[in-house]
Amino acid sequence: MHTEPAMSWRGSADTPDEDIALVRAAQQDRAAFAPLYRRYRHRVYAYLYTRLPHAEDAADLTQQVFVQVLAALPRYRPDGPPFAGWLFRIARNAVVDHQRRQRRGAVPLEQVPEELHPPADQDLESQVVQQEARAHLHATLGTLDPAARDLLLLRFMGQLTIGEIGAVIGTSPAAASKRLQRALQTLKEQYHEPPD
Amino acid sequence: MNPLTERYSDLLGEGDDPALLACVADLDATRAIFTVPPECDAAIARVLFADAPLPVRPEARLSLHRLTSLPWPAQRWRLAPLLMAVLLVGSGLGVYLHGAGPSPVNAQAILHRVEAVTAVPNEATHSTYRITASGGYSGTVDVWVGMDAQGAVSEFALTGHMSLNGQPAPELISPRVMTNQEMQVYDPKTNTVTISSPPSPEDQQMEGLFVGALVAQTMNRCQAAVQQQTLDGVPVYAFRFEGSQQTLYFNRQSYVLEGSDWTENRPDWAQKGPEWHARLDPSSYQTMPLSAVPLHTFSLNAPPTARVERETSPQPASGNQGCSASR
Repeated sequence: MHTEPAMSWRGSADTPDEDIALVRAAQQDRAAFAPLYRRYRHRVYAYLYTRLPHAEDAADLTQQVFVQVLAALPRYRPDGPPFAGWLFRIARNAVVDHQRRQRRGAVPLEQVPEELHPPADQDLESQVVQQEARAHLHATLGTLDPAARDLLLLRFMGQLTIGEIGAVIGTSPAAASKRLQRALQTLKEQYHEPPD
Repeated sequence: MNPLTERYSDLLGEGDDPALLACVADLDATRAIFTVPPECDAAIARVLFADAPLPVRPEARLSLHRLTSLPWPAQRWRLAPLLMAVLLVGSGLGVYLHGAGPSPVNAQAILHRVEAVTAVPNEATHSTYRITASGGYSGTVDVWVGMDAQGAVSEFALTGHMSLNGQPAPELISPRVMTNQEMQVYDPKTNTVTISSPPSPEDQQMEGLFVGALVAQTMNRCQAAVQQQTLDGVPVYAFRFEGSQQTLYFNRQSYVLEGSDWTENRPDWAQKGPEWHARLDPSSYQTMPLSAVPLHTFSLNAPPTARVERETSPQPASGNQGCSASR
């Protein structure tokens, strides 16, 4: 197995350098945030969708994350952690905050205005496909501990590089790589075992 | 190298276990299914890029923080900076301020922007400020503010924890709520709830928080110097009000009230009082529909044994009062 952290698998169109250019543009003009949003929206959504216990919260939280990112963008330093790592750190924190609120029962769904509910006209087949895929993923990852599961979701749903994952979880790329490899090995060993 | 091993070259290599390849392929395929629903995508884009004031929400009111159980006049002084901030945000008044410093800025435009991003109709904000002061004071304050359909402050609640020299000092903070233009303050030291309705001139600045006209009148008498600087590494506009020892810091990008500094001068103190600092916990700021605010947030929750007093309102202050936190 190749263990060298890969930093550029996405190709030149998606390199951190391009992120930096986009970030700098967005820091000057909010409208220029659009390319960054387009680049990361599905990845953030996929990560949130698979981390939250209620799928309907993913869209709301995706919006919240990008709003927070836009608000905090002036504070982001391009010479600091990779933008994607910074972005997913915000997303990861949002999940934690959300779960904490849920535990406190602070915001019952019934109290959320209707306009914030998941769109009712979303394609039903698409919903079913996503829900089935999500159930499958949860079944697949369900045996892992939460930290290992989060690493795999960051890598596969968020499509983060090792370096970016390191920025999210606050470790070096080498340490992140080691943990990710370990998580994947654990998953592989259990992968073909039929569920009880 | 196939596309999968190329995409996951950090995890896969030539000759890998087929089970591992299957695992990775499965995860990769699953990922592709999860995309933002088009309706949500459009809604998010509207929020992010609409010309209207953004959900970069500020929370204006950091300051009520320091609700101490001191007598009202003392509380008023301490609260004044916060109130001014709230007023600035909530009243929309076109105060004329003097730009100063190396980069002159349009103070009025800043205040308009502050108001624009803060006053979101039917929305509530929750934020936490860290409070420190000379003399060993420290603590945190939770502030909830509710906006009505017009984007004016209609509800307010403040709770917190204070310590003195590391020892919990619950008597230093008085929980308070405001609803229907009635302010209720619980003083744990005397087990008393004080109700001010209509707003008492004793804390008319607090009251002005909810009555934009009062704020406008007050602020129109004020002059302030505005400078661009950084506060704990965050670029801010610093408003220093003439004749006072208070400074308000608004984030230069989000226009959120990042913090405030003020010095407490009390008539019973021979010398200058403590220097107070309020700083926004950047991770604490939340906004939500007003309807989603937890129940009882805007309730005082005082002990049933608490004595209730209604405050008599003195004559409104005049002159330059209201421009300074310390008199």
